[in-house]
Amino acid sequence: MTGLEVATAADYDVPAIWIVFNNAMHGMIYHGMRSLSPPCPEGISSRFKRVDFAKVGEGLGAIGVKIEKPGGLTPELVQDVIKENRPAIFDIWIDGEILPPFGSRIKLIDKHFG
Amino acid sequence: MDVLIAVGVGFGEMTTGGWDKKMLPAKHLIHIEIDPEKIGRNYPTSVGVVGDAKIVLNELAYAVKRKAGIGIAEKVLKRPFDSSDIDSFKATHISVEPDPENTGTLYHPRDLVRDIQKSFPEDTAYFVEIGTVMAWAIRYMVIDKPDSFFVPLGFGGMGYSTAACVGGKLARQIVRWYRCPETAVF
Repeated sequence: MTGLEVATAADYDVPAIWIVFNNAMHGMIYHGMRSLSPPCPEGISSRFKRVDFAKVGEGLGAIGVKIEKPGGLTPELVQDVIKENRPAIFDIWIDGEILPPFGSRIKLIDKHFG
Repeated sequence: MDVLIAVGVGFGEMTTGGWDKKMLPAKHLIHIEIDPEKIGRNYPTSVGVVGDAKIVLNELAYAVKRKAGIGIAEKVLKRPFDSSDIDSFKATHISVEPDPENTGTLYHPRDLVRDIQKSFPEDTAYFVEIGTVMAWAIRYMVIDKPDSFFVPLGFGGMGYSTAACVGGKLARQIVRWYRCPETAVF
């Protein structure tokens, strides 16, 4: 929904680093709907095809690093990127199906809208 | 718990288990906070003190000295702080290991949070977006340094952190440059 700030950082040589928890969905909506009792039918999907944010980052002038496998983020890799002293995006694929630890939110939604 | 003194907290939904009543002390909540709008917003407050945490706590210490007399105050204020409860809580928090049942081909978000903290330098400042990532970060990150963790929990403004980290990085560079102009990369 946002992200063009990466181009601003590249423009001003600010070596910020972004990490995308790439779950290919609007996770709060997806899990919120599924966690209600009874679950809310998905209707208009809250999932979408996984975007390649590493490439998006490269297009905006940053270093793009894509990590698809668990364990792929290591101190060595991070050090290599930091040494470049440029803005960078780590696009890391995660398992979006795992329920996030936000049980209290579900309780509240159920209480007020259930 | 009879009395709770809260310093620099907003009692938001994510950090109170959805405004759980268990957070409420039996008698008094004393809330020290720089943002006056946060006082009394989520829990009834007996005493609200608006101000910078460091200044207010120093003033409180002076007030104790004035009221109780220097002898008693010194004894109370210099008492070594017993952090064993906090230490044991931190230890269980840090010791979260990968779930052996998670044999998936994708990162478990909790394991990713752990790998991020293992891989990035200790002085990293984290700006966390609103969304499920915030739930994972609040639950599993170990944040024990000032100015190292930012989440826009006030209005939950999505997109804040994506932009704020640029300003944060720039601010760090400027501070470093002021302290040591010769070595800073700018």
